[in-house]
Amino acid sequence: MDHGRLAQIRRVLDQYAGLSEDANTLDDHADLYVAGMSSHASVDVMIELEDTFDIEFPPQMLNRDLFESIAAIADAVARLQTAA
Amino acid sequence: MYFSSRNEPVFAISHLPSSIDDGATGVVMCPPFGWEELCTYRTRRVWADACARAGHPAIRFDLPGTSDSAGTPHDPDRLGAWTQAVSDAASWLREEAGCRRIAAVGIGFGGLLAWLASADGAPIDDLLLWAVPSRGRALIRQTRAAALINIDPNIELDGGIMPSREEVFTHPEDDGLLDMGGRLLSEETVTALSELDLTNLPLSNPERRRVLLYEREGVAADRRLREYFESTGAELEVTSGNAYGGMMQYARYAQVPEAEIARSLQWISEAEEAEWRPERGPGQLTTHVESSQTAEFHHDGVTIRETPLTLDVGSERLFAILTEPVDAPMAEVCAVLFNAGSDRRTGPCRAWVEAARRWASQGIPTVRIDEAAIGDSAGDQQYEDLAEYYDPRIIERTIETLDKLEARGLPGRFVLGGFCAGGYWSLHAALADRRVAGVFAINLPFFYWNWWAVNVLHGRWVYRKRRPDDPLIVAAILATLKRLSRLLPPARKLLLRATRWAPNKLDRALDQLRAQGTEVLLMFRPTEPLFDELLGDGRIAELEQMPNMHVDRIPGQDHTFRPLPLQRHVADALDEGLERVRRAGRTTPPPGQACS
Repeated sequence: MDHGRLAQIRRVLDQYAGLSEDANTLDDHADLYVAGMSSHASVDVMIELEDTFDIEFPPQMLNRDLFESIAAIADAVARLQTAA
Repeated sequence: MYFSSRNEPVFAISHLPSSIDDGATGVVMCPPFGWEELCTYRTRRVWADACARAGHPAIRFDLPGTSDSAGTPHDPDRLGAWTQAVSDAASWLREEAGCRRIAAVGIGFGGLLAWLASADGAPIDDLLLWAVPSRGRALIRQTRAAALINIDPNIELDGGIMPSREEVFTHPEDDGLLDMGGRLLSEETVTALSELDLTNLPLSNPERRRVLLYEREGVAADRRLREYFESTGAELEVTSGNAYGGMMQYARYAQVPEAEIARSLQWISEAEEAEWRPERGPGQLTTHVESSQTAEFHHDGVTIRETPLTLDVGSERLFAILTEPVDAPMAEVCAVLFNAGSDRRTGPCRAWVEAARRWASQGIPTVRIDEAAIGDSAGDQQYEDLAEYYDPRIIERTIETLDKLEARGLPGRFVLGGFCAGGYWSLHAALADRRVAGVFAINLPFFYWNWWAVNVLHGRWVYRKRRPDDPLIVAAILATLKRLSRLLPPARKLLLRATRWAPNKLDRALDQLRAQGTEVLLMFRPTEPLFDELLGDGRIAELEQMPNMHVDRIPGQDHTFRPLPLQRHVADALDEGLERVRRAGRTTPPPGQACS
């Protein structure tokens, strides 16, 4: 995985996800909702990810699984960047 | 109370100081929409209370066609109706409370409405806007994304039909947009909002206005709004609003933004102390607004009446709304619907409001009620501990509530309905009181509250969030449990199988319900832990054999049945359940005294 991308995602999560722990200590596959991300915060995370990576998540891609873990987010971001 | 806006009754609650000073500033709390409206209900109540205590009359209300106000989301020109309601709330405050100056508090969508009303000539002077976007299309995009991310779209209808994603999130009649709270914005409303740019709708006399913009955690106030106010000479203050995220949680976890409320009161007082340009500007219109303690309106072609009730039950003061027929004869049964968890009496996806109006139009009086410290009931209980929802005193209060309703002249034969904990209260009230002829329990979490049910079956310890004051050992245990959470479901099934032999109070309870002829409707989504348990030990098949017992499988995974096909499924199942209770009432004698 691209470590730079992961670091950026962790920064976004730290700032917007409202996690109960530091995003840097989370495993790539840890469940972000269990780690304290609220439903409302997931939208803030999405919007900030779009700004950070200059991408737009298409509606058909948006679902709960997409934001379930750092690894899932990184995979989605990579796919959108590749497609761009 | 209700005030009339475009001839629609709008449910409202006023918060008036014990004495109102001449020239006091009134505060209109403008509600957001859907999920944010649910999350912020308690906050807006606390905020309005704080205003009143500080000497500022305040009013909060439900948008027309939403929550406890009359109408539906499909009614025409919702955006116009909502804007007019803000304006009428401000007029009511000015006229009834004698307010000289009016401030509107708008969170998110509510702030957008406050602006629209002000631009339209509402008697609003000052604006407190928190996380308000200047463009409606940003709001729509966030609403759509929140729904897509957070609502589980997996549905399988009869015959194995799986609706498309579009069918799950849009309404077949008008192609609206489903919000994360399971509330619908009609297509007309979506279009109107998408075209909206607040900065193209100038406010009259901006130089006479005071504006307080709250930021959010890490998100600046909308740049275009800020520039608008700076360029027009309004007295602008921009300040942090770091409690936004905490406030926008599911009602049980939502935190009241104490610091932001305190700052808002200070901001209002500063204008009063300075007698800040109190004269009215041209273009601001105060109109006479009718208000009343009850609302009458048509539903399915029948006139029904809604009346807010205050019930003193035990040591608690509970809030409820009674919906009843006006002209039609009253049926022989009264329905009582309980709040869902910490969400107020409107029910999941507004299901209780819609059921109450359907049933009242058929002659069945229906009461939707808030438990202590929830919605508009008195009390300051936080329900931080799940056990508080299953306190036996709630069952006692439920029975006493039935006494109070019967004393008001409502039928002494009841059907009780609830979601999650509300279903638990309904079921246990039926076991304690033979006046309960029917029970509707949606996603009942367990039949009996105990340590096993909560911590193992419900998995509470796994999903409990770490608190700052947790000892290290608790934090370590939580972290370990979370890591093991993937193993929990299979382990739970093994434990259930191993303890199947254990004596179960459930058999005795089911026998009692059958003997007393109580009609029971249990509705479960397929992944509900109790359904899984009942299915695992073969009990579902047994229940389905019982003449008084109906088990309905909600054909989707979403806990609060937000996808529109699920909302329709639940409404139909509740209506069928009620019909069964009515049929049973025609063939069995009326109940006697409460059983021992």
